[in-house]
Amino acid sequence: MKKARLLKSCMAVFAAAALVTGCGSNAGKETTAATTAAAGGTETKAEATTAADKGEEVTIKVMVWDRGDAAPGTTVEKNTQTEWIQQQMKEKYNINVEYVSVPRSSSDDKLNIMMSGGSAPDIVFTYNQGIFYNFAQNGGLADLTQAYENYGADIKKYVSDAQNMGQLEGKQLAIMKQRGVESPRHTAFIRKDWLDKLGMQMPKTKEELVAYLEAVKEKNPGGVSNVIPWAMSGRNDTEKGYLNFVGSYVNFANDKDAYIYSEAYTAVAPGAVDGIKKLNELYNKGLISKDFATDTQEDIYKAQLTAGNVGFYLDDTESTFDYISVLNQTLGSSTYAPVQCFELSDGSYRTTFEQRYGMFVMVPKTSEKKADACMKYLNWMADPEVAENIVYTTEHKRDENGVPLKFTDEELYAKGYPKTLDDLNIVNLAMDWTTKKESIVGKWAKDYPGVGDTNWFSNFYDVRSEGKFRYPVYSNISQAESDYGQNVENMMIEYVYKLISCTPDQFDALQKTEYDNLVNAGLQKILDARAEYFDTIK
Amino acid sequence: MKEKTIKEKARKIPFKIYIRNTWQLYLMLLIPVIYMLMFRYKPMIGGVIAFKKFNVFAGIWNSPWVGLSNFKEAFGSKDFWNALKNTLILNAGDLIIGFPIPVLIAVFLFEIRNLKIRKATQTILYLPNFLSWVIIAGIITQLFSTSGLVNDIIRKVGLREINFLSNTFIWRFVYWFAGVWQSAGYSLIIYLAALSATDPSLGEAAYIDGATRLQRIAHVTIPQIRATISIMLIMQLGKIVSIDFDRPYMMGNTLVKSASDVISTYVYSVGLQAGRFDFATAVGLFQSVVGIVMILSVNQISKKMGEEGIM
Amino acid sequence: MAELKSKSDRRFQLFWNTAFIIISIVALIPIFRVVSMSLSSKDAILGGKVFLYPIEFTTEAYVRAFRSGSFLSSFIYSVFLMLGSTAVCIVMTIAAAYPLSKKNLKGGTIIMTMFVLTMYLDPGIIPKYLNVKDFKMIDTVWALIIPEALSAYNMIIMCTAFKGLDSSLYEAAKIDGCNEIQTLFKVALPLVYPTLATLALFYAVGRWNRLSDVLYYVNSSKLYTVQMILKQLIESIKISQEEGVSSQLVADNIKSASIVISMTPMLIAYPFIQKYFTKGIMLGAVKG
Repeated sequence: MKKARLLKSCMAVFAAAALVTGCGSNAGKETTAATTAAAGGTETKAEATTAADKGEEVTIKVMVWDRGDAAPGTTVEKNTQTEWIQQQMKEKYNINVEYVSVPRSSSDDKLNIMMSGGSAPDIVFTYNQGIFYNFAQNGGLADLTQAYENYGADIKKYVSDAQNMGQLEGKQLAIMKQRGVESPRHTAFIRKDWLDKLGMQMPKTKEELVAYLEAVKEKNPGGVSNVIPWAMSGRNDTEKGYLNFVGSYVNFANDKDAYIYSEAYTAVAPGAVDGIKKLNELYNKGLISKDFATDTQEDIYKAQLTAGNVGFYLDDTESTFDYISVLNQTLGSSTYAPVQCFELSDGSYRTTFEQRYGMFVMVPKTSEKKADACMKYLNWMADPEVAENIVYTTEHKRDENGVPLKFTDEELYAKGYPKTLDDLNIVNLAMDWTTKKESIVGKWAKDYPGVGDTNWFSNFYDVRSEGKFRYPVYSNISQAESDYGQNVENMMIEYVYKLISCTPDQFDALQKTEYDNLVNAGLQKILDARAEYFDTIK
Repeated sequence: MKEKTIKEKARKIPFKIYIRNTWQLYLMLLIPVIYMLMFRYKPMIGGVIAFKKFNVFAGIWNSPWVGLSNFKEAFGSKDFWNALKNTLILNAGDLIIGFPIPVLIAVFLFEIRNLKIRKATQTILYLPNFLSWVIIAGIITQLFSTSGLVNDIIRKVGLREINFLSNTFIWRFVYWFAGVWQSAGYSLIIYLAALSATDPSLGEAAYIDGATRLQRIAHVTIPQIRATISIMLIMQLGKIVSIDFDRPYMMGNTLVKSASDVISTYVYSVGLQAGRFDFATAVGLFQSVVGIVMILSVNQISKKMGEEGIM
Repeated sequence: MAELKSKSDRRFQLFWNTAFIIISIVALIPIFRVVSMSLSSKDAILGGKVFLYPIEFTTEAYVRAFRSGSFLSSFIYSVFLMLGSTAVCIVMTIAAAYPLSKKNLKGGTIIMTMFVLTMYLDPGIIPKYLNVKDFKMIDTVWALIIPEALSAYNMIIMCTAFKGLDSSLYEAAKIDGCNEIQTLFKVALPLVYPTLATLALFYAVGRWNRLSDVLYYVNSSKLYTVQMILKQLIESIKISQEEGVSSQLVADNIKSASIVISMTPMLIAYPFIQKYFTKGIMLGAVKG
């Protein structure tokens, strides 16, 4: 009896499994068959009319990120937007586009694996310069120079600024995606209402900032239970919490120094130790979150900000708007304002801005034959009009400032669009409106009404761009940097956290041992290689 | 001894009859054996990249040989030895603290007559197993940080706050107990299953003989699941140099790095993060060799001590 | 039985019942937290107000999690994948464990050693990927079933359970004229139901939670499991670093709701598996 039942249930499960798997794979085959059949159909028609200028039929596979946010009943590979793109490409260039999904959060790992199996799509991309460089060095990328010359007119026209990052030894090995609104890496925020209560002016220097922090600690202007003058978190993957402060102690003698240390190695540049020492002093005075280093997921940091216990913080420029907005709502008044007070030794400011280039868009060597078709695809979407239609759908409208209006998630889902449409737009984010202050400010005020009004954002725009600065950057990186760079960068964050939170008498000894650790992990090799490279190009 | 006589008996049976009696067993084994060869041993050939400068595009065979340089890099690095030391310490703690707790819970749970509590406990203890370490680590931070709930209570009682997360010595205990919290339910089920298959009449007999409850547990219940306990122990000892990535990585922080840096995180930061699969494979090979040596010797020792052993 | 309920016994029962209730509550803390976060408003979570019970109660997160993308269809697919792959795993495990549990099987020790050693072999992801590719399984559902179809660890647990059976039972079966396969089904399997149920649970949970194969061996999002979709939701913080200001973060309540949803199939299945534990007890009693 029991045996029979067990067997039966086993069989049922098997059958079900077979059914599901059968369904899965068959359905896949059917749809591809259907699309090729359909494509074949249109192709014959197309040939009859204007075959000449459209060229031969080519099928390209394009990587697309999956963030698990496609509309119900659709996938990231097949939805209203991909269908529109496929149709446009077919009509204009006789190119069949197929999408291959790659999970967003593990995209670089998966890319490496697909490349090793020779099964990567024809167009792939990454934000990681090390990966691009490795691929290029190992001969894994198709040379796009010729294709770029022949078919890259719009890329040249609209996003040429960034393209030199995709060149190595005179060859164009990647097309660069250009970023949209120019933006600094990090911005500092201060409680304007507390400043007013304390009768203090907006700080313009570090000294004034420290005076404010001390006043906050002593007088607790907000009357909160757990006042934290300067809040930090222990995130071990970002330098956002201290870099602007420490960076202001660093003076680059020349372009060479600026290149060698750039943003990534600022924390070990000449002078940086003084900045870290100052932070250590503030920490030991109780002006910085106690034990911030243990708050690795920044839960406590977020909670303190939102609860209104924090007088000052440094963070990614726009990512704290949610917290500010909740706090403003709770208190019923405006709280935080952006501030620039990290003056250099000459009194000026240096605010590091994001580079104009974003992603490296590449064609693997195995897809070399399709380089022309890939370039046509990329060139097509370099046109800001097209880019706008991809990011905001073809059905979008613009507001009075010419800013495209984004559909809500609900509307997107109803129309069968995925939520992150930007993932399909892999060349150009620099649309017309992204260069105009009024448009940007207007958009912010609309997107984050809880943070502030147009005046607040206008001030935000000005303050965060004070001392706008970009580090010199080249497409070449050394083998040392490619091998050890990421690890050293993470270790530098640890280096700074440890130094901030040690007792003042330990500082010098700890600094020495920790710095030696960095050198052992490859820091010196990286810096030397950067210096050497700078000399070779001058 | 007993085993030997059985084997001798088997040898006495003529080969033909032996095969006639057992061919079905060999047939059953065929698929698993082929499977293991194809999916566990065959990929190991790819392990040669540990001796190469692996180029993703050239493939495993066309990448240039570099001899032992990957091994030399690992063994020559202070960080590697530190990571190995921490791996051993953390795993030893798991063995001392984490191993007996599920056994004890299982044994006492089995004594409980209230079936509702028994079932509910068993189910509930398994639940944290579904939560990833990101979430558990987040909760631990909120509970044990200096501004967390536990320290709030400690301060209210009038004691000095404890740096659970920034003192390496205390942090290790937090790590070990978090391990119990997250995964005790897993081995608990194995022991409970083993206990379910035991013979309750033995225990009752012992009770009638006048044994106290603890005596009965020690002399009847535990010996009944002794084979399971020793096999679980052997397998865990074999994994003494292997460690999960997420748990130390998520629970660690800058201030306890000297205790939380382990082999898996070391391989990640030095190897995988930079796409150096060859280096990662080299360290993996080292772990495999240590693991194999460990399991074979522990198995021998346990056989000498009169336990069954795995092999 | 009346004797069993002595005074000291009652005290023992009371003590341990209380102890287990406390232990259970402690073990439930993370679950309470995730559930209450999933039922709280986004702002309340952001403010760090939510710990063990919901603040500003709302079920919005569940509605949104269910609606987002192909969550629902992926959920159903994942359940079937889990069942199918568990069935394969269990068959493989029995096929390996039963013969190897026989003490007089010639070559058994060598084969067992070969199995045991696989626990310590890890060639790394690239050789594994290339192997799956060799078998032409990339981007098929088989890549999610076959490469992990047998775990030596579970096989050893199964084997121990078989070894624990009374050998007189086998001899009785032999006298009854059963061959090995008949003995397995008629005598051995029913007696190891508790272990079988445990392993089924482990395999099922293992399949449900495993991500690496979904990540590497499969390219079409149709074949993504629920956990894969979850991972994408949860890991959006890291991404925002790279993409600069343009990316959005997923609200914590939606993440928590997704985690709760992903735990439900196990919660539903668990009582059924537990039934087999008690069955084992009864069988044991009969045997005695």
